[in-house]
Amino acid sequence: MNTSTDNRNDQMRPFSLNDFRGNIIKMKGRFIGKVRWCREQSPQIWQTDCLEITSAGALKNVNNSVDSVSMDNTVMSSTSTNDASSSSGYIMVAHLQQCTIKLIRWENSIPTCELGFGESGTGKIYTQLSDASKFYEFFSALTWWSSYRAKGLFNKLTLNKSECVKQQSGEKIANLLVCQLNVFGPIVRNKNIQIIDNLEKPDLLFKEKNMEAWGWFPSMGVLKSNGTMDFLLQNDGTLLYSVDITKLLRSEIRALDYSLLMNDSCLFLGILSSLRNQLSVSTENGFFLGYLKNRLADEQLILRFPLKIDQEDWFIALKSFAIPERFSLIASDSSNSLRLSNKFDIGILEADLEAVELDAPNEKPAFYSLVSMWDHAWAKTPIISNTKPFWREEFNFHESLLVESIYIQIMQKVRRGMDKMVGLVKITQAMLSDPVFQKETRVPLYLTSNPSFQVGTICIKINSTANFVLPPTNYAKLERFLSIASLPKIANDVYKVLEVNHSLKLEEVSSTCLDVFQLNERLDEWFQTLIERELSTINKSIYKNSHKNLTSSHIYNSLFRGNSIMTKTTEKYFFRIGNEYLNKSIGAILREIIDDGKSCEIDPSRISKEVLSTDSSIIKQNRKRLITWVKKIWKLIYSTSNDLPPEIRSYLKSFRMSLEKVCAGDESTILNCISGILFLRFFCPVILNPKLFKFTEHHLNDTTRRTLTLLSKTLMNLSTLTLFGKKEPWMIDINSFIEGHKSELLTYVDRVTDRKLDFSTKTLKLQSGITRPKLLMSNFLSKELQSSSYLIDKYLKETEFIYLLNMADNISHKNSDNQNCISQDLSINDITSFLKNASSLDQKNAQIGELEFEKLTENNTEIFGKDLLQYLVLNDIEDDEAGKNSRILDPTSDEVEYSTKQLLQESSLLCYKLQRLIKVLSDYEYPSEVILRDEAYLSLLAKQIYFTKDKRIYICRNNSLTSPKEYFNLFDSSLPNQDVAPLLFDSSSDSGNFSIPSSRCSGSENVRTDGSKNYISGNSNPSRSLSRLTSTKISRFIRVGSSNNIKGQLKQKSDGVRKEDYADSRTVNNTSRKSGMFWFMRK
Amino acid sequence: MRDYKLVVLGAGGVGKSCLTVQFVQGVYLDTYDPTIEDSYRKTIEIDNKVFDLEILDTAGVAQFTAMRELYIKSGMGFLLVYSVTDQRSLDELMELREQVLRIKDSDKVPMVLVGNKADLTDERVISVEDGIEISSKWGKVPFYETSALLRSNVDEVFVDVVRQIIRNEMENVVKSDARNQSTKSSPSTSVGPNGNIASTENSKKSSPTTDKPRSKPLNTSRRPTETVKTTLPKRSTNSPGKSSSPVSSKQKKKKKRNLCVIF
Repeated sequence: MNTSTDNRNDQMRPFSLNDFRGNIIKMKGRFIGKVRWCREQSPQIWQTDCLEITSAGALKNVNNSVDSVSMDNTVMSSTSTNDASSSSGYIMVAHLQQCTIKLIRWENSIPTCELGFGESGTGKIYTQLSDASKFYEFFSALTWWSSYRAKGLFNKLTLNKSECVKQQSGEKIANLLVCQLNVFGPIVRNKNIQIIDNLEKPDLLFKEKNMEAWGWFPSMGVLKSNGTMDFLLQNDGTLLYSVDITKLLRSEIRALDYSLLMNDSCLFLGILSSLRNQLSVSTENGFFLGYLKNRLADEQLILRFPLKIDQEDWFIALKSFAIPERFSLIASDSSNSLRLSNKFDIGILEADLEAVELDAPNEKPAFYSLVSMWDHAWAKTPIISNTKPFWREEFNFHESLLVESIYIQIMQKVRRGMDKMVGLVKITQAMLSDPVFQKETRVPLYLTSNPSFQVGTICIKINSTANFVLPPTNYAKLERFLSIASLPKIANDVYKVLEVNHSLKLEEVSSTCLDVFQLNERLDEWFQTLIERELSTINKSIYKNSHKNLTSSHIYNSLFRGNSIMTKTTEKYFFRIGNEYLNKSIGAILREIIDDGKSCEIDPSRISKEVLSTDSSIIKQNRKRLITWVKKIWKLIYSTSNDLPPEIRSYLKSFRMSLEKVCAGDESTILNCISGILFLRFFCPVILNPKLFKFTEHHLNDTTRRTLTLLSKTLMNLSTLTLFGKKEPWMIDINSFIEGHKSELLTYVDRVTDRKLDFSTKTLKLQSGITRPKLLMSNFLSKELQSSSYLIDKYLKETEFIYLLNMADNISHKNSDNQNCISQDLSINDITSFLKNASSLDQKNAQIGELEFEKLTENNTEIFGKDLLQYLVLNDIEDDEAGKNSRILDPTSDEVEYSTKQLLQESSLLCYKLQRLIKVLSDYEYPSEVILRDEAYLSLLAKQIYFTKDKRIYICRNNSLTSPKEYFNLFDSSLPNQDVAPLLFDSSSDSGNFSIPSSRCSGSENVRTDGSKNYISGNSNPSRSLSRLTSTKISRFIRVGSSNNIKGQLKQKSDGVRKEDYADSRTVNNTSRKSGMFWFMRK
Repeated sequence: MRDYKLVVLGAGGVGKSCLTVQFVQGVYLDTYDPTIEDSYRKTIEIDNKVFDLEILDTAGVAQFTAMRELYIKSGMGFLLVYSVTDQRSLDELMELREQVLRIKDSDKVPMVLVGNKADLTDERVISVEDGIEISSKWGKVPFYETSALLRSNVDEVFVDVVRQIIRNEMENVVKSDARNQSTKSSPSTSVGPNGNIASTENSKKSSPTTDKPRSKPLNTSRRPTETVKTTLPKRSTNSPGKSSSPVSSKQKKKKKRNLCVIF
């Protein structure tokens, strides 16, 4: 404290960048030497011991074993490798990763270091060193370990700029997508903007209520190849403002739920402050550019596109430029990262709000509920005037991050002024995956003003699946095999899994298969396989029955009636393909019927006797109305036969051909089956319940519900040409309609199954007819994102698929119970277990890993070795091309068999890789040896070391998201003597009046605010060429430089890796992590 | 006359309509006629009391299940039907039952578990024991195997549900009576004693009602599965599928007793 400035300069030589690099390279992140230390500051029990920072990041007291004076490099290496000597000490801190460092007190110009460790940073150790160079060694080692992250998978969140942005550096900026759209955003003054008043304002989305300067206006949106988006005035093309998409996280670009604006083609873009707080990412830098920069309270926009397909294209394009949320280790290859798919559906069934106090008791209160996350409402139920509102709404979410809390707010509609919140339910990530909520559950609602007062209950239901997905490269091989593999064999496996594992849901399995085969262009074959499979089992029974002289009519009568993979897949596919067709063909008439609201009841028992007696012709009138409606609907269906999407028609065509093989000549069965698909599963559900398909906003009232029920009954019977009879005699009068349209129906069925040429003209304008502007865009799109048509998340689906195949594989090789638990383990239901615990996971996985390892063959190496992964990445594009070109059109049976086998093996390898990665990412982070030797990385790291006014050290992984004002670079490049770091160690600043010249970091960096929280990294300021390199690129750079012939070394290395892996799983099993430390980078 | 709403639930093609129409009209349906939503009325007499039943026959196809919550809300008793020839149809019931209990917000909802198509011995994949196991897992929900074709156990399943509704209602009356009494006698006492009174009253009053409807099934001792299977006439081309003459159905009624599998 009382050291003078002169003194300091004599005793404390400046700490330079070279010192830092040299220390790390020399000591490999370790330290050993005499340190005076104490645990708590107050008792002041200082003792001097020989402390060691080991190569595993532990702080050890090795007082008795070595003499610090005689320490040199040779001794260092011997102590670390020699177990006997290192075990002689005791461990003071097991893991220094993510420790906090603070310099507090100066004695003889050498600062005292406060070391914070442990999960919440509660443990504290104070250290003093006598020698300046020794202190710098200690400081370097501590900083080094502090830059690594503690255990917990979600600690390893890495936020790098999207690959799409990097590709573009240096090239000319091009316009990628242009679209006329409506924008909800700040209104620019003194520009001739036409404000649109008739669009609903998205009040629910914005916190700020002072929205006068905001509004909807038409604009021309232009997305450019550098990741900025311009909004131009539509009439003269002048620029209104631009935004920088690369500043947003992928989670900050969101497709808005239909319920919010009664439109399904809106996107939300903007900074979500509470999301960023959750990730400890600064919100200081917004994404608006130009004069609006940092001038808005809410940096948010809503874009409303003219068509759904525009919205889909833009959604993918914008997301491609935003920052992806990935989980990876420092300097690991990009193919070794994981992304989270956190999918959940929240169903809100009904609520009981009878205890709600009403302001105006005479008025009938109206309620709705909101689902909100990160301070924004993302979905809304309709308003219902009842104290027991029945909503039955379901909202889907697909997040790439953990969600800390979701709120369901019950709102009371107030005639004037703001709607009042009457109750609130909080849902946490842990609750999402809780099986209790998978079924309808009544949850108490509490008053917002008084959290102990229950105002009622709400009945909710949550379906959630969480998965980790590998980067696309990993799936290239799988896709290649998938394109040839035998589908009947795969179908066998899928059916087998469903039979054995009752916890699997038919719907999910069907949809996984549908998506995987649709994206890999084998859907037609898949359907053919399913149809033939289901028909063949039926065929057997029919054969047996006819042999025994029994009738099989009951079999024919229940053909394709139940729920099977085939019918489920078909339902889903038809609706996906045909949704727009349905809406445009019969949507309008359904809305007309609902608006009309007149009863079409023809069941005398459902009409009150009074009405019947006063108006004897009522049934006749109702029947007339019913027949008019049904005729109209039928006419619309009949006349648009050529508009029915070609995918559906070709499906029906091959379906009919398969049926004809089995039920040759039995025309009525064939008709029944076709109608059982097309009408029972496609037309009738929509007619019966248009609300479910979002054709209407509100649930139907009893009268219209009944009308639509009668209509769909009539249409169903027409489709199977079944006359009404004994079942419901009052329907018999409708039979004349069925008889009158019999020939039309047969013609229709012949047309849609391509039996007869369809000369009817196309009458609907469907979006499928519009070609998408893909040409320029495709190179820019991130492969990882959902395939843009129907927004299917391809790699997620393929991940689900490999689990499925792997389960099948395990069932067929039921050697041990342990193998079965792999599949269970992998379907990560309890996502929260990854939040903290690594230990329990370690044990489980280690066991499985060991067993599973023995099954692996030479193909492993192609997946497992880090080096080989690198190789895969480099050949990424090549691989893909090869995959497409070499697609064998007519593979021989041998090839098919081979591919099928390989497919199964590949999926078990991918499962294994996923599991390994999950395990490694859940553990503490350890440096790789390559990195320890690499000066470029060390220089990069050194530039990321910052300190605060109170001399706390922060390591900010390179990123572009924040610009901390109060942080100073340790090795400041803006100073003349830039490699020296004098300021931190300047004791004069200890007084508190610590003035820093203009050395504020000009780049935008992130700050780790708390040891237990995530912190992020990304690309830093473009002006610094080195820091622009990501750690990934650096490691690749090193690799390419150091080993010229990667290919030649492949085999050798891979063998090594395999052995290491094996050894690793062993040692982990023995709970000694030591030798497994560098598993992924070892040579 | 009491009005009861029954709902028939189950997967597609398990024979819900066949069962219902057989019960209501004594007719066996033999057509490809997927149900969208049919409703029937029938008046029956149980223990000398007349009941008016409204039976809702629902669609099995999943696309229509969005209506299920509404059906369940309005229904008082439920028939959960599967087909003994289709494992999936039984699996689907698990979820359905759960949904009924959750939406009704009660552990005691009148329901029966019905394994239909029991006559199809060759195609059977779910044994009687499997059904029994499920029923006991569900807290001894009454379980029957039925054949809509042979009209065996058809009336029984519907009557059983109605009896459960009656019993439920009586218990509720008893409970509310007990509550009223206790509030009159000791208005200051808390929930504890009230609950006690209710439960004792319950067991006293409900025991006769539980015994009475159960007496018939309990007396027919459950027979081994072999007997069940052998007594079943096989479905054949000659089998009078469409016959609905009262004589033949009465004859079958006598036979069906052997088929009874009840708790």
